[in-house]
Amino acid sequence: MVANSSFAGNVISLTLRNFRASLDREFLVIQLVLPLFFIFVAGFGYTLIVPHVQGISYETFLATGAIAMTVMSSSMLSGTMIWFDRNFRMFEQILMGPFTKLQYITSVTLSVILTALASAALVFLVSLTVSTGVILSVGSILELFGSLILGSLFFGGFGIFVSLRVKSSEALAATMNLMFFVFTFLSSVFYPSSSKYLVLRVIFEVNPLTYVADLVRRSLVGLSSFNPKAEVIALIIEGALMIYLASWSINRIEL
Amino acid sequence: MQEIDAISVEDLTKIYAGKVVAVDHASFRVKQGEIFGLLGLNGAGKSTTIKMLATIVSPTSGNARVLGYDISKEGLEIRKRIGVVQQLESYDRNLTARTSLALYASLWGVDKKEFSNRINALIDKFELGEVLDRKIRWLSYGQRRRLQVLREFLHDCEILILDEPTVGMDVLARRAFLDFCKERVKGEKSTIFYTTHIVSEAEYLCDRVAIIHHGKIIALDSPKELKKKYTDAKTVCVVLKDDSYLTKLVKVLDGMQNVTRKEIMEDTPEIHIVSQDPFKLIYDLSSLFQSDSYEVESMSLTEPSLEDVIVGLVGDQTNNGVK
Repeated sequence: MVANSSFAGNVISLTLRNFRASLDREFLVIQLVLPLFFIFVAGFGYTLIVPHVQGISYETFLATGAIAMTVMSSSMLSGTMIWFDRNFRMFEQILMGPFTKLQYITSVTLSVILTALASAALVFLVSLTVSTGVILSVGSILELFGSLILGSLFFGGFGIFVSLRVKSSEALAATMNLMFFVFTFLSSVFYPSSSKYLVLRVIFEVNPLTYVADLVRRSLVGLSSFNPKAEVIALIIEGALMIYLASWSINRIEL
Repeated sequence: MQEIDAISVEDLTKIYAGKVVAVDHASFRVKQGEIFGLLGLNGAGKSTTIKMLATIVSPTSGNARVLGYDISKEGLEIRKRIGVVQQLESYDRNLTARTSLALYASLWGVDKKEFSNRINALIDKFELGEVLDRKIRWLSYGQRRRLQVLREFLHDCEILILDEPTVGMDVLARRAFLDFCKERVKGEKSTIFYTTHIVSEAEYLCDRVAIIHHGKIIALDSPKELKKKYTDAKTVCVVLKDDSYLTKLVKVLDGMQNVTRKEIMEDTPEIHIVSQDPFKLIYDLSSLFQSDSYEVESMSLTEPSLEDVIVGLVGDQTNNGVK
């Protein structure tokens, strides 16, 4: 008469449920259009003005940045997943079942990490058609996926945190849109992370998307602007902090 | 050895935002195998009590045990053993009814074969066979509600907590569901904790009921005993031929000492009068109608209902300033 399962078993069950119930396939396809648009439309256009950046073609620079951007946008879907669960009260229903809040949050994070990796892999494969000088080895692929997972952890946690703090779907959509632009344009996705203003330089350098984009470029084309070890450590710290904030929010939420 | 209570609640209190008292020192016990009803008006504290028992809301003070487990410390052990139907709808909007049920059952560790057996046994009882392969968002409110209730019967649990489960169900579906609950308790020796504001449901279904008002438990017993304890009065129903005599009748009743309460029906010229001395009331009214040469349509005497008990109790509590 008792529902018994291990922590991992429960997380897997919830993750499978998230994939079936919470991920909107149409939305997933649509959100893949944006990075492809940047690679094929904006990329070709800007290449006429800026042929090379830091010794690589601008198309390659932009394509590797688009992989990082895809991870961010896919991971931030965690916010939408939780929002819909809250809105249709499956959030309470699951938490009244044989699961803990930690298992639920872990399952949402795992769901978006897997989604982000799949989306990034797709963008990566497409980007190969325009990128030059890409290093393809087991090491570079592992390095690429490792950095994407770390980035996904941060942005997944960020989505969860925001969805638990806002009061309406409009506020969620507005915050996510705003933060998408803040993270993207204050990072090295489209251009090298430098600015003549100190404040912007600081934001560039604490923005996890800068680290993800930089690590992606390092793994695929050997280009790096920062110390990669420091970037990995920074991503781990920022990711852990964001997951902590997400857990703190879910524990404080009044049902 | 003494059997553990299914639920035991001691001085349970929940205050939201430091000022809104939702549940106020509630205490009660539910025996295993019992259908226990928690009755009250909207906002009386029923759903908050359920959320605390389901361990998703922490009490401000006091405590409760479910199957011997502490709600504040052993939430997961409790949640493994209960099934909860929330008062508000909860569903996965993008899935078909069948996929949603299968996913929900799998969350509880019910394998595909067992799910298939259980769904086949239940689907007709809940009249959902025809809509099983439709997306939930296209179902009617009543169908979605039946689906939500059915879901909790797919997995094993020792206590079913049902928060106003029949909202949105039509009369036949409601009666069939209540009968199904009775069968379930008999057959599987499970316990049902049931909240409703439809008093007739509780009277039909529950072994014992507690009445909650402004977060306080103000009465607790079997429906029969509650009626005995709290209403020695009976109700006289007077049906007039038309509205013309109603004003005078109300004025006369206002002046009568043995009238406890009166209720004028909305759509018919009918008045229900609760009285401690109904025979004297009938005699007085007959004399009145005779002296006025007024012919009434009918006058009858009825036994008090649980609703009368609640109206009486809640009315008294409100009049005594307990808010």
